[in-house]
Amino acid sequence: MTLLEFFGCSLISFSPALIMFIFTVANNPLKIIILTCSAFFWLLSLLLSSIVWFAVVPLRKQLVFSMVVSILFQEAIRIAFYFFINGGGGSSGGGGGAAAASSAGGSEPLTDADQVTLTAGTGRPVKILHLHSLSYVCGLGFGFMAGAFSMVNLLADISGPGSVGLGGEHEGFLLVSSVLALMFVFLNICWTVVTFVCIEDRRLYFLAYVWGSHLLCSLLTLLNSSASPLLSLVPIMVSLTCALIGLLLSLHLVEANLAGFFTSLVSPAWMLRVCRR
Amino acid sequence: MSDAARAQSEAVNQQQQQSEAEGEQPRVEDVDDEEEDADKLLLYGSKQIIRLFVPVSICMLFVVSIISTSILNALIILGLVIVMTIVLIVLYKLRCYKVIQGWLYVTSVLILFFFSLIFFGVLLSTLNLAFDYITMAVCVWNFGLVGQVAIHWKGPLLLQQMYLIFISALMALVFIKFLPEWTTWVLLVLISIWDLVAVLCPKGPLRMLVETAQERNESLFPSLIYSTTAAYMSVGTAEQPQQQQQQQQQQQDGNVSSDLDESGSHQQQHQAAAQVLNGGGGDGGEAGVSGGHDGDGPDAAGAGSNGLRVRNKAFHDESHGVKLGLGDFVFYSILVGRASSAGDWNTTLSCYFAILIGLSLTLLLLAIGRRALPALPISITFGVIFYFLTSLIVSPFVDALTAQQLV
Repeated sequence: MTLLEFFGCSLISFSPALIMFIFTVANNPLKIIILTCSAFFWLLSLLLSSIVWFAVVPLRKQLVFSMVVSILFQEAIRIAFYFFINGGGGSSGGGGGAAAASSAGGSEPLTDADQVTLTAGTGRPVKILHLHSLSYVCGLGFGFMAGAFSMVNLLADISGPGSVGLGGEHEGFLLVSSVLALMFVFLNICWTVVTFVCIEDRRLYFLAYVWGSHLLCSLLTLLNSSASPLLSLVPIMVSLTCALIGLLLSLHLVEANLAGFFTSLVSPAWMLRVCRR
Repeated sequence: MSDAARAQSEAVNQQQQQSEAEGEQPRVEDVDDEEEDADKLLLYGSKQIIRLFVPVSICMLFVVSIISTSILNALIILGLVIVMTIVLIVLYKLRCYKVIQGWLYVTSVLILFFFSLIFFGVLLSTLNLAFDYITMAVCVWNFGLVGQVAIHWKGPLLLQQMYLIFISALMALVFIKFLPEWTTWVLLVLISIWDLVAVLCPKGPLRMLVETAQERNESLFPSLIYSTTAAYMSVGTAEQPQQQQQQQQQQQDGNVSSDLDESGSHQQQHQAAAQVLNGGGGDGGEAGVSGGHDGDGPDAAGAGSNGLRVRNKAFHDESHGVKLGLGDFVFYSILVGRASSAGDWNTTLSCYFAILIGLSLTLLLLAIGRRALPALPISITFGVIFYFLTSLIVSPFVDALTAQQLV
């Protein structure tokens, strides 16, 4: 079960992120850079929260405290990243104004068609992404890092020659971990999209959903026990529900055509193109 | 090397003991003086104190520099890099192109044949695979020869880039294998400081190299540098006809440069702006690679020019040809490799992202500053900081979380 489990679990956690990366991010260099930046920012939030964990010695064993701190830092960094991205656009040759204008006027989300081309200080046209696709890319970066940091060491341990388990946990331990990592990839995407739109449109009350569901999903993982996988169903189901709600909410917030979105899920454009031929 | 260092340190310890012993005597006298005469103390006290200062500080200096041989090791390597860089620059200033060319040929032969032979041997023995020497010899011969041709003469850009990457990876592996852990960290810090000095100081060697190359309107050692465009094109000059003629005589690359004329001026500006230099220009000598643009003679240029021109035009629109020294590749890989050799993938991941962010910041500064910049300092600083923070603080935290499946 070692190598098989390694491949299975790593594919469960990362294949959706990988597919999303390949089909929506990899073709645009700027998106890749933003993905890297967001991953780095997530790393910063983790760093801050672990410094707090390290500094508050009496509460080191009480992981609830550091989890809450970590969630707060993650959300703060998410908001900080929004301002960083917008400010960064402004510093490179006045691109920020145009980007803001375009994102205020634009209503078609998740497409590359609505990019604004303008000339920055380099004398070369720089493509400024639409806010919605930008937030999606950032969310992917956040989610990937969150999933990766929770999974890589487990995966590395399980892949080793002749490993029968990690520390006497139940058989589905790695499966639960990888499904949770997968859920958090999706959740982070939804949270980031919702957060960015909220700040952009000054509709801050939707932030309550983000923070609330983040707290809920994270703290419910305290139910996980190493004895049996049954209780782990609760956090998984709850985070699945939260992810679905977050998906609907973010689609609503970016004013996407819901029916069109679901049709495109069932019948992707490439499939239609193939059928027409 | 470590034996020599140890012997040295012993010698130094003896010296220190001597100096300490010497230092004892004046202090005793000093105390006597104090009891006997206050005037004398005023007169000679300060002198005595200074006399004490000197041996004590020499002693401390030696202890600090010797106490861990890692600093010494790193300094030796750094000294080697500095000497090699200076030799390279002197040769370049004196226009000894053939010598540089030969140097680069020899180093790349060494790496491509012998190092790769050793590398494959170790790889096979690790994988516990049996392999006969004859097949191995044929494989390595072909591999190395194709590499030589691709790097020094001509070949698909992709192939050349692959060989450059392979060479850098091999160099990094050698460093990781043979350097003790702390030497690596000290070396990384020292090299990035050296990089900063060498590229940014008005008299820094790498800066002089770049400026000389710009004066001569040549692309700078297309060999030591990984380029995102065709690496061995020479840059034509539309702006300065005299220099262009000169260049044509020198370089015998008339074909290429005249082909490039229409795009030459743009390309050259971009390239001049977009060169990120490596920490070890001299280290490039060790990691030696070369694409000959002057010594190769007209056939190479003529034969290559057709394909080259097409490729250039294709690349011209979309790419400015950002260049990164191979030394940077090597030291980035050393950092990440050292981080991963601890067996903690979180550390590797964070170092990787820290280095990428540092590289993007450097490229951002490049776009703003439009002059050659050292690529190591920002990335290595980020990488080192994140290595230690992650391995000391973040990893225990994350491990505690993942052990209980908390996200």
